[in-house]
Amino acid sequence: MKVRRDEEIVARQGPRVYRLAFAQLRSKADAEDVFQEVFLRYVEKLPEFESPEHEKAWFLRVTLNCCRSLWRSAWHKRSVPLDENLPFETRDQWGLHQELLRLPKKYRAVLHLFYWEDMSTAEIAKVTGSTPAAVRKQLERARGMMKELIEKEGLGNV
Amino acid sequence: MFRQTYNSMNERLTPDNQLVQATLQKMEAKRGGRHYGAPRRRGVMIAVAAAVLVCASLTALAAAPGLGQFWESLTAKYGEHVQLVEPVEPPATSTAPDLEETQPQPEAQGASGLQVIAAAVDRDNAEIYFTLTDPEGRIGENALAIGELQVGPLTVPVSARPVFCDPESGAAVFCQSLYSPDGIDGSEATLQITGVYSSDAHPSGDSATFTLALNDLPLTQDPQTLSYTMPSQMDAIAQSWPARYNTISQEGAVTLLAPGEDQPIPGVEGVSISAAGYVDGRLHVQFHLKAPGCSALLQGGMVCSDPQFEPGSSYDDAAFDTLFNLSHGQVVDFYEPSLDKGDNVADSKKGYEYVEIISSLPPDALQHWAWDFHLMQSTPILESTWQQSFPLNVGALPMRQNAAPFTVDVETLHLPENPAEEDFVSSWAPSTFDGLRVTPFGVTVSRPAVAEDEAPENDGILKRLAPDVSKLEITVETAEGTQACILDKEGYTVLPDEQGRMTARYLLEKTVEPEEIISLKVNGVDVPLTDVMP
Repeated sequence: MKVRRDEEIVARQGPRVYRLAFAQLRSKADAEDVFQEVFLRYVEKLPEFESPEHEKAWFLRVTLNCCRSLWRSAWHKRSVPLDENLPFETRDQWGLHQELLRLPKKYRAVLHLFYWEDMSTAEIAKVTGSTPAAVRKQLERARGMMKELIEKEGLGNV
Repeated sequence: MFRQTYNSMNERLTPDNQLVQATLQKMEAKRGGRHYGAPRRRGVMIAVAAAVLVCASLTALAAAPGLGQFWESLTAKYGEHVQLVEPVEPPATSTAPDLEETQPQPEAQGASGLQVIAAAVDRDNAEIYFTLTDPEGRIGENALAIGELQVGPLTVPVSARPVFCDPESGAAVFCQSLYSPDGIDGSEATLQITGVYSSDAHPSGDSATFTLALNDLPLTQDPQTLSYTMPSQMDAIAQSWPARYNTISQEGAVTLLAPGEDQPIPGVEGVSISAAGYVDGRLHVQFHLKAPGCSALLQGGMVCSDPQFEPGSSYDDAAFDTLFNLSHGQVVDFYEPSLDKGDNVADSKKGYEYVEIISSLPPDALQHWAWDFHLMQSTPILESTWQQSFPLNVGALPMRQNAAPFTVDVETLHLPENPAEEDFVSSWAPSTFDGLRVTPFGVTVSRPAVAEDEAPENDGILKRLAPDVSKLEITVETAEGTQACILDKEGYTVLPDEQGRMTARYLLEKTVEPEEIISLKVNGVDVPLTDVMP
């Protein structure tokens, strides 16, 4: 039964965890490491969720924490791995990926939670451990930086 | 349009089935009592005779039945090569009155307070297991034990998470890895734990986010400095970014600010400025992560109000930080985050007391710049000091070597001219290795360094510091089946070592006795092995 429940939780939260990890790390290999670490932490702690929103917030927050841990690891300081098998199809997708690599990491998180997860600044603040005002400030800066980077690279369709 | 492109990119990102299945297997295994978590970082080699160890294991099991499941997982991981540690005088001590007065519970006997219970050594690597027991059950799986470990002349910070918790006895088993570039010589080791904290950092109240205008820095004219010797391994890695590193290093030494009186940052608790000034034309700002174990995580970013500034084109490559532990006068970490990209700055959970940021921002540019910080703090669980000395034995494990040099094809990936439109290009070239050693815990491969190894390729965004020796697929076949080895990500050279060799260590998930190996393959090539050597 427990294994069955593992499958359900991985199916339900796995894509969300993977995408946020990739959004933060911009590396398939690192995102896979974080993906596994997040679900092992879930097994360690077996948190009881009060609601689907609580479950979602827990996984997002743990994913961000795992990404931070990875950044801090000695190995990750030395190298940024190659990602040769990313599934992007269009020039705009590849270009955006390259520009996101240049964006500060904390801005990547708020952009992802805002645009992909469709979360409000208050919800993002809870997940990132920040304040709604700080999130709004970060979103504003992130958008401004992305605008500059995209225009500079001539990614007109982005 | 941004949302549309961003979301179309994300729609294409899904965890593949192989990843999902591997994760499910690990989740199931973890429920079964085996410890998985982060990949085992370092191979270990244990030094005590098996018969003695089995007896010791049984004794320990009888003394601490609450840890029985942990012992099972440990012996499953290391086979019969388990060294149990008997404390030497003076015995473990504690300054925590509440713990000292607590009588050990029967199920926690032998594990009260701090108790080093097992250690494993492989030349320059070790894993040390210790328990902390709190009958009130405050030490849970989110605990983080902070302190330091001294082995001979080497002192390293300790930051260990539990690998096993027994809720009935309150005993938690922690694992601390040790790497000593000069080797571990079997001398006595001393473990000191100075506190247990929650590993779940949380924002530090109102000061969670703060901005430091550089124009307001308390800069000192001609500040006092200290010279620190960089650890040789760290120095070697840092040299792969010579343009930055050479600006502050002189033959393996770095000049940093001498810590001065703490200057508070308005509205911020837990972090203060301990020194700031220009040294050799570069801005140095030193922060003091105050309060032992305050566990501050500073995530920093540079903010510029200069409308002429182009992101990524000016001071982007100029800022990096150096972390050092003042109490021992040692640089304990060094890396090159770009504050312009919002990197993590410091995490005192790892034992760092001071962090120094160095930047090439000239004085007349400070008016346009600010550093944006995010401060996280962890909750103290137990603040106390425990200490124990113990022998760190070194011995010989059975091993086999390659019978002759062997040559295999190794893949290299090349960055395309336009990554947005072109795939990476793969090429294969033969590499010859004259050294291979397999022990119960893994395989070490090496070769003499060549001129190209002295200057690893760095192509900007994607840094390729991955020598061929770290890109091997190694499988070991025994009667029980075939097992793939996993690269120890902290166990390979990116520059030639002191012996002028390139070396990489690969770990086995499950212990293998060398004499039982039927075949060993590297990138599909069968490597003949010698007989077992002691």
